[in-house]
Amino acid sequence: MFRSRLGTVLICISFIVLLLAACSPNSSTSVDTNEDPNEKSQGGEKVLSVAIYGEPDSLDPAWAATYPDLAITMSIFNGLVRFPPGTVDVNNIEPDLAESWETNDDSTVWTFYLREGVQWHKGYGELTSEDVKWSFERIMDEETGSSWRNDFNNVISIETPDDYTVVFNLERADSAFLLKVVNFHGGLITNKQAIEDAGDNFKHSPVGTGPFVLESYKPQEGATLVKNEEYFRGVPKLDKIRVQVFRDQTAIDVAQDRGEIHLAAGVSDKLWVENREKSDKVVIDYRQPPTFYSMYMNTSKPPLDNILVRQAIAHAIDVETMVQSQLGDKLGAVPKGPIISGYFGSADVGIHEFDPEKSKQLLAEAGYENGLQLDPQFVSNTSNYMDKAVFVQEQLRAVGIEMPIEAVDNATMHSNIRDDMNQLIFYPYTRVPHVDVPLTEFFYGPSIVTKPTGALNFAHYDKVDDLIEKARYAPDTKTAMNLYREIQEKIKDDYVVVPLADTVSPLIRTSNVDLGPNGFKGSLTYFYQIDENYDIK
Amino acid sequence: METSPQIDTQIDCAATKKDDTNAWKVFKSNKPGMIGLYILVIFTLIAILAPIISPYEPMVQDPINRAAPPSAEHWLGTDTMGRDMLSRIIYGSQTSLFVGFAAVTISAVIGTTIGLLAGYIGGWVDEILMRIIESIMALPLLLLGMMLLVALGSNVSTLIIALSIGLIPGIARISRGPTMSLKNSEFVKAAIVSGSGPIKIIFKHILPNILGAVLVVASLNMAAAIRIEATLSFLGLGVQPPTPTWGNIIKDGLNFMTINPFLVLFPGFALMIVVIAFNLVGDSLRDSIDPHLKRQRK
Repeated sequence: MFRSRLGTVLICISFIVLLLAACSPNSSTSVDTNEDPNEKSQGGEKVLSVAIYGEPDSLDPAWAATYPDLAITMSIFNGLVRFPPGTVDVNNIEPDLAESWETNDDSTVWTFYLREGVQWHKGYGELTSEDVKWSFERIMDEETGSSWRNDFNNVISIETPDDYTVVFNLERADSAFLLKVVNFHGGLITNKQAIEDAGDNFKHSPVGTGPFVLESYKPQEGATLVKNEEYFRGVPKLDKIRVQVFRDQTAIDVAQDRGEIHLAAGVSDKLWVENREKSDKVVIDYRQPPTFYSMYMNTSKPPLDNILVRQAIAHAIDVETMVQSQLGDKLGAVPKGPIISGYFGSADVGIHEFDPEKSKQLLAEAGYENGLQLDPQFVSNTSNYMDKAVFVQEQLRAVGIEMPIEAVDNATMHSNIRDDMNQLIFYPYTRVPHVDVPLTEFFYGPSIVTKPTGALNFAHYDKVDDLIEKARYAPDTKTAMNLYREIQEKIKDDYVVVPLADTVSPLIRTSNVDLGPNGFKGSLTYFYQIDENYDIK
Repeated sequence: METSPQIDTQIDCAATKKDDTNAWKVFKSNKPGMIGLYILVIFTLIAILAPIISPYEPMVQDPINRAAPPSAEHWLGTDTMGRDMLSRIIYGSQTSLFVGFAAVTISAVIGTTIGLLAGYIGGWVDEILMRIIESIMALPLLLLGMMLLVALGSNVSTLIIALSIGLIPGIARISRGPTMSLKNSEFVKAAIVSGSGPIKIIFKHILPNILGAVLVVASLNMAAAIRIEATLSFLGLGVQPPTPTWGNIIKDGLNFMTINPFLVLFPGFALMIVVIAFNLVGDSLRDSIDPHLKRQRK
């Protein structure tokens, strides 16, 4: 009896503690203002603390895709060329590992002249054209299984006339080839010897040429990076970057208010932004280019092989209300078509109108007048995914479609959707701002997820392959633009994707972090790109 | 970790039977126990009458009105999807109580049967059954639940199975001990002599004598089951969205706890009240059924 009463009392006490903790988020922050652990926390070292939500899957650029991956790899690796840090502008590309480059008249041969004297991390010697050749050939090799293989379909061969010259021979003209070799995804240059030395651990032993060197990586905990004293642009101002894995946004917010965390990704939610804007300790940055949220409909899985069912789903979802209520004006906009807007080639083809009556009619037509039961769909339990999925779920329910959700962690969802396990796939993305890239990854036959060459074509859609190829090699911009519009209209008419939102994602930093001369307008990753100019004031 | 509360297995069963009529009187005289009972009756009614009394449908979203504080329109405010908090807590009580009740009933039936068989037959049957029970006991209930949910998929039936399995050992052990001693008691011997078969003896003569003890453990298990269900749903492993349960309502509100603390306070409060109520009732039941404790009091 006594023992059990004690249990009851303990429950009461713990709940009261929880209650107090919940009610006074600000009291804890005000206490900590005098002890400022930000700067010089370890023997005068400048350590930048970075929070990532969830664990990285891969620190090898061949697969690194999620923001926890990229938050680490982007500081370690370089590409041949790059967008100036903190910006993403197709018309403003500057040298990175390549000092200069040139192309022939019809854009089929691209020659890059490498910077001399660039040293690999950890004593792997000087970077040469052989490394660059190997790095791209590795991505292009089917056996590697890299997610970015299809980006380089057009490359016939890579030549290295001397140690500092790399020549790409393309099958067909590609005037936008520079965008394929920027410092992102498959364009990051890796070291053959280092990857072989790492053996089975190659996904977590990145060796690059960038401003920071991986010192240690601990599963579940995070990574420590130290400055690269030999970095070709000069010694970084920060001594260390400590990347910590978090599994709870409230914990990140609290840690940041206490100054324990400098940089973090925010929540794409109006409520979160409005709340965090009140804090004077932090600054919110809005990241361009936009992230595009959409729901792909897997045409290989019944009943979604029936276009009537797909139409019913598309017309059941009130995208405008979702954008207004969850994102608001600062974070979101109603999408303008089946792919992201604002990229080179994006066309304003509109989205399917919200019309639940039409949905019900279409369902009846398809033979589901008594309602349709879908399989459980795997959805990441992070709020960015879950809020949209739950909204969609309720909208579908209203027209008689039951879509059960199975909440799983982010990594499990990403692995399951690549194994073709969902009928409806919620997926956000940002890419190099040229529509060819998302079109190839999401709507190109060879990119169907179940194929060996598969990328992110969750919808199993292959009806615009010819057009995509035609547009890619179009002789002039106007023809290309017209073809891209045609493609987007066709994808819209085939009902394989429900666009949900164009969003800029919020990133958040403590106000004492100096982001360097460019500040932060955008990045291709979902995160800050920490380089040699980052500093703590 | 959560294990079934230990209670004295050496219950004087003959005495229990004699005192049956007094048990209710003793229970009634225990104020905390009665308060607990009233609370449970209220929550059970809430769960049963949910469709009638809840002001809104628990899944219907009011997207413009997200994470709103309590108001005349939404008495307990709205959750992060703009759903009425009061309605979600009311429907959540359905899930929480149903899962708890189902798990406790299943575990009580199976656990008692195992305990009776092991205790009455003895020998190698007892050995085997008890080793199985002990191997289940080696795993904390929460861990067992997580393992099964991950392996079999997250849904209500798996949750019930997982909780049932985890709760069986406590019941089995509490019924096995008295069965062993009752087996050799005078009235069982008399029944054997008068020609009763083993099944009749077990269920007619022994079972009624251990039922009280099983009831006590079961009521305390109920509190444990509800708590574990909430924990698993909080971790995203139990009941899946949009079905509300107190655990996943708290989880939904967690990211916005600093914006609107009510998002976690209201469901947390409901959970706390019900768990305490089951504990109070369980304690009080034990006082009224277990004659040892009573004697000590006198």
